[in-house]
Amino acid sequence: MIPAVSILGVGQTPVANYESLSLRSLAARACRAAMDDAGVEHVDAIFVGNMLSAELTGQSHLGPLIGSAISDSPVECLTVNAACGSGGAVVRMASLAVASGAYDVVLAVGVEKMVGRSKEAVTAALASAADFGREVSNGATFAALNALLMQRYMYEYNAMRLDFSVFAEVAHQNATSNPNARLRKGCSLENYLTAKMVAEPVGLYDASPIADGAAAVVLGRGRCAARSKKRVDIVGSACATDTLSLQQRGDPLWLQAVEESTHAALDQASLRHSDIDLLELHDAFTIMSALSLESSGFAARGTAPKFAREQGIHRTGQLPISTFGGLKARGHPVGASGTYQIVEAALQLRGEAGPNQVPSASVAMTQSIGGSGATAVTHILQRAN
Amino acid sequence: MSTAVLEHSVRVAHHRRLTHCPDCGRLSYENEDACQCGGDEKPYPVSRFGEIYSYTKVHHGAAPFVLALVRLAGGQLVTGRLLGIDREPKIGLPVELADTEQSSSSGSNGISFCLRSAKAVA
Repeated sequence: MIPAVSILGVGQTPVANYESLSLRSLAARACRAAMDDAGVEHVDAIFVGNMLSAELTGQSHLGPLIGSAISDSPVECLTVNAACGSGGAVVRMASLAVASGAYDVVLAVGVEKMVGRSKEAVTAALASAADFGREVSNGATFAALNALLMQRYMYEYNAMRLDFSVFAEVAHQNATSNPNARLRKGCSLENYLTAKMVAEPVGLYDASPIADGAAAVVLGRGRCAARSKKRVDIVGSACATDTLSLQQRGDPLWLQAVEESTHAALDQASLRHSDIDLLELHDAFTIMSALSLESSGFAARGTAPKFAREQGIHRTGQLPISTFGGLKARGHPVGASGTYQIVEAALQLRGEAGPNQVPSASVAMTQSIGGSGATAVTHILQRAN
Repeated sequence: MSTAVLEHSVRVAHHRRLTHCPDCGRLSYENEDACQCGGDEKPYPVSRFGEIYSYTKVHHGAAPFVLALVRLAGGQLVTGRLLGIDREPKIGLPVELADTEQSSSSGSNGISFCLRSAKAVA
């Protein structure tokens, strides 16, 4: 992708339980915030990232639904669905639309409403993003699939459950100072170890909470971008896929799509791993944090928990991750999470992260994953000034 | 499932060929020329025996159950439920296919395995 696309503005709603707010209103709040931040009153096109609206609210065809709430003119407005990776994929599609020259200013919004439906309904809707014939028809859920990975990881690398607690502890600590986070409370090792089991060895603190939320970015190029004082450039954007089911992979503990998309995005940016100042990764489960760090190339195989504990993933560590709480504690409104990551990374690079600020951050990487590593969308963002 | 019923299921499974569809991954007991997914390639026979690659006790939902990834003797990984558990599941333990009502249901890959006894393995 040509490195000519910039993030001109960002917006987000707090990740919460919005019983009396429609999906349309939720998306519109984030969109207006992003447009205000960018100082634009008009966008040429709108892309909507969403996973579960049809299944959980009975509403699909979100383009016109949300487009008409944002724009008075009949602009192009389409939905992008890449399961839990939708929030990253929608920014990629919007940035490609800008990079292609088709549009100058484009809005990308990720939105999800999950709270209010039964746990069984949400679990079943989420599981539709796994392989039905191979996995779901046997009772697999995403918690169970991640548990299969975590159990195998512990066996192969002689790891223990408590080794994974660092990912939950850091995410929760970062969320305590994020007013937009769903879980603004710490997680101690004791909390982690004594929490109830969801699917052994995945406990409650290994999993991210479902939630409602919307996040948006305004993307632009050319004169619009040159005028922006808050500009953050998208210098790398890549998406790769793997088999939908775990059982089809030669090595389920290696996320090939994560590896591919990371290397492609870094190559586009002409940057190396050591240039990344912070990483917003897809910590839907603690095992995903570990596998993402390893498959991305930040930690050697089987060493991610040790890397996290010893090198540091907190805000002043070697590689800060989940700097506003991540999916784990900011919350995981699935189709919006990837866009939250990009909003948060942009705030870090603009130096506007408040108490969550990573010192001297100039390059950030975000990675949004759909399924158990089946889709991986990676972005590299760089401070413009 | 009671142990007696499970043993019967395993005995039944012994006499039926298990095939694997290269297109959709569905395992089937039936000796079919084509898989119900409509794939172009003919399902090929695979072993009923394997060992646990990974497993999890799933606590959410109405009734807890154990889900496993099984490495079949031919090398394929297959997802299935583990039934009739009389001891703690462990990675590497030998299992074999169980011919259950769930496994035989059409339209899904509903596959179940059971732990093999040490005597049977020997």
